Amino acid sequence: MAPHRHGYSKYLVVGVILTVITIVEIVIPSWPEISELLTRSGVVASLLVLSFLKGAGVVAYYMHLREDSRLFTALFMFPFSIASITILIVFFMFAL
Amino acid sequence: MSTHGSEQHGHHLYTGLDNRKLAMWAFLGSETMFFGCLILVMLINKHNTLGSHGQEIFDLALTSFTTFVLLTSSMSMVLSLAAFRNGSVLWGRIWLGLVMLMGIVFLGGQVYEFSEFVHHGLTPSTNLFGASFFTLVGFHGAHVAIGVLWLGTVMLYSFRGRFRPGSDMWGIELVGLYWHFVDLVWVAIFTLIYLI
Repeated sequence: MAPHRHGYSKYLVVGVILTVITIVEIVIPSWPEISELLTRSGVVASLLVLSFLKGAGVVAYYMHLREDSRLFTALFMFPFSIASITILIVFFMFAL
Repeated sequence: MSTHGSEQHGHHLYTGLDNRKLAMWAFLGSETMFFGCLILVMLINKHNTLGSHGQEIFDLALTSFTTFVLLTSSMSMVLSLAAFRNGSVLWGRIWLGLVMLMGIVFLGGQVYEFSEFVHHGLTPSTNLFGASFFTLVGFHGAHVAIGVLWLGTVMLYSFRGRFRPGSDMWGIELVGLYWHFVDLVWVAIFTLIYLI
């Protein structure tokens, strides 16, 4: 039986997607026309969603959490969830 | 039947999972809380800019460049692991070397950014914004620096024949997890601190 080969294309595709998302993240607050159209709340919401998607891509595909044991997911996602929720609360209280 | 629970040639617990990988994920979970606290403090002090600069001092062009560099290094890291697993030691080392190079470029960008801020009057002792910023980004930079050193040792091991085809790749996988996490933290910092 031939050994399983680990493909590169999946990681390249994810890399391109993450790069595109990063470009969009930079453009949104930098272009006055776009930031005025979205208003401050829209800019904040879109940036938070985009960064979440980026993070999910890195964790799921680059860190292989998608293919790995659920125990690893639990070990990481439990503190990550606590930290994320707390950050969001403090963000809306102090930094918006 | 042995009740010891560990296999003769592995490092497995009763879960059947490698305990090194388990430890790494637990460590990354704790690091999430650590950086979460630093980000929290930064968010609270984001507008405490009394006496000096605040967010307007950020050079978004430079930070965008370093963000791209770190993001690309993460892709290079996963390609390195895939290459080693496929038995391509040369390409594994090439991608690994690129990760190290990009990590050093990122650190160079951070050093330049810090020096510019100090030159313009923002230091850790200027105001709470400065203290929080330098602590958060400084700790992240320290993690990147440790990662670069770790990658260097992994590269050294690869030249000593450690990651030949057929051998286990835990050394690369674990440093990869650490490196991707460092990138993940920067994703949060870049969005919450620089962009918003």
